[in-house]
Amino acid sequence: MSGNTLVGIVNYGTGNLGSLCRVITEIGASYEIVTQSDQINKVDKLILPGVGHFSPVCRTLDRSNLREAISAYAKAGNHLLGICLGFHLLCISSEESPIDTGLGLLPRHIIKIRVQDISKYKVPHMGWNNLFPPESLLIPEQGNLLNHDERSYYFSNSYGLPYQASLDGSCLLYNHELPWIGVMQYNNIHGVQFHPEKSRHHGKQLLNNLISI
Amino acid sequence: VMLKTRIIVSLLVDSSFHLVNTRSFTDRTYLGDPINASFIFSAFGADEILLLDIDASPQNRCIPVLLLERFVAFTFAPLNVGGGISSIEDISMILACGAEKVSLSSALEHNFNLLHHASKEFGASTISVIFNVIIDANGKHKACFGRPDLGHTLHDLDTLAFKCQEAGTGEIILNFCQREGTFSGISTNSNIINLSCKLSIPLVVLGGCKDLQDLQDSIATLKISGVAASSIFVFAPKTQQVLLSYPTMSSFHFAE
Repeated sequence: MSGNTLVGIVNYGTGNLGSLCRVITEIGASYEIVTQSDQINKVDKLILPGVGHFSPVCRTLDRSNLREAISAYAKAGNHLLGICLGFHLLCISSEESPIDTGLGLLPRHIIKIRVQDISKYKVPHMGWNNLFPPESLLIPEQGNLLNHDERSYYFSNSYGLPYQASLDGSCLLYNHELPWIGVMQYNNIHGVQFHPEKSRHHGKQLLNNLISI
Repeated sequence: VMLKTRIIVSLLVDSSFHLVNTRSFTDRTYLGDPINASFIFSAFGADEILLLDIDASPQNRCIPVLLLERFVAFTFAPLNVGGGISSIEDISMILACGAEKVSLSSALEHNFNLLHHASKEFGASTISVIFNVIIDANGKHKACFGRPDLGHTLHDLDTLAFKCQEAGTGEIILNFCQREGTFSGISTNSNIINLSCKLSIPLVVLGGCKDLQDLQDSIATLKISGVAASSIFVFAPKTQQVLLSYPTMSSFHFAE
């Protein structure tokens, strides 16, 4: 079903493109590395990958005119997935570099993970953690990418999106002293804080779900 | 529910692209093909792989891109790569190949600023630092960037750890090099437990793991972010016969 899907993977110079490209190929879709704005219109799904620092990546988006092209792509109703730093880029801003602005497609602000008990909770939040639905939802709202399951996913982040009960869209959380957002969906905009391309077979399944939307 | 302690497979490669095992930097044993190992540990669902080119720094070069490209093509596991990394360009190259993290060590002895620059450019969660740790004649933990047997300067472990945390490393890996390949057990010294409690960043220990019981016990005692091992994952128990293995998810059930 995913044989003809073309996935655009945005290259802003620091992402871990190698692993992501390979997973997309294994799923049976094709990919195109997106470095210029005119490439975006031909892809069926767009992924903003996830290793790097907020500031240099924002500047790369500006220099390449990708910022407008990605926003236009999203506003046309196409499905976008941001992974880790890519998820942060979808938001309005990140404390990692307050002078830079994100794409603003998710009406949220990324903040630094601060913990009270440093003997127990370390920053960066690095390793395998589980996802769970917000307690306020008796029946977890079903997102396109992932339903609540017991498996763990690979995280590596110093910044994140704290959970607020008033949040629009659907989400799953992870715990790092406080609940933080691990998966978020806001209409056609999807963000994951972990690395699905590094999260064993169930991570691959998540990417497959995106491609199958 | 919280983060699980990572059980990290440490894989050493030499300048011939061979997977090897060493004992305190010497007594090399040829194990086989690192690419094959990459595929097998990925299929085992390893929490993370630490790939180190042990000849890179002594030969003044970076881990080769050719090796990395092949290695990454056969693994889905989160990957931390080290070996002779001495510039921002080296790090860009390694991340572009598909690694999540890089490990810095030898280069920091003469260019400590690299740590700060790397963290600023790529984010703290992308940067690890490896110390080679020894216990000196007075029983004190000493740490150095690069190999102590090659004349690199020894520092007080805690002082160096906090200096690196301050400079922006996202993780510190302590390689207990006197224990490497000896099966003498993972160090559960109280100094290490205290250091881990005081650091705000993740701490990983490497070296000396005896068996799966030792792995499990040390995780329970140390309460640290990760335990790395090599020999127990590449040799059949109590032999020098090569057998790649990794504890299944179900064999470890850690309490919070």
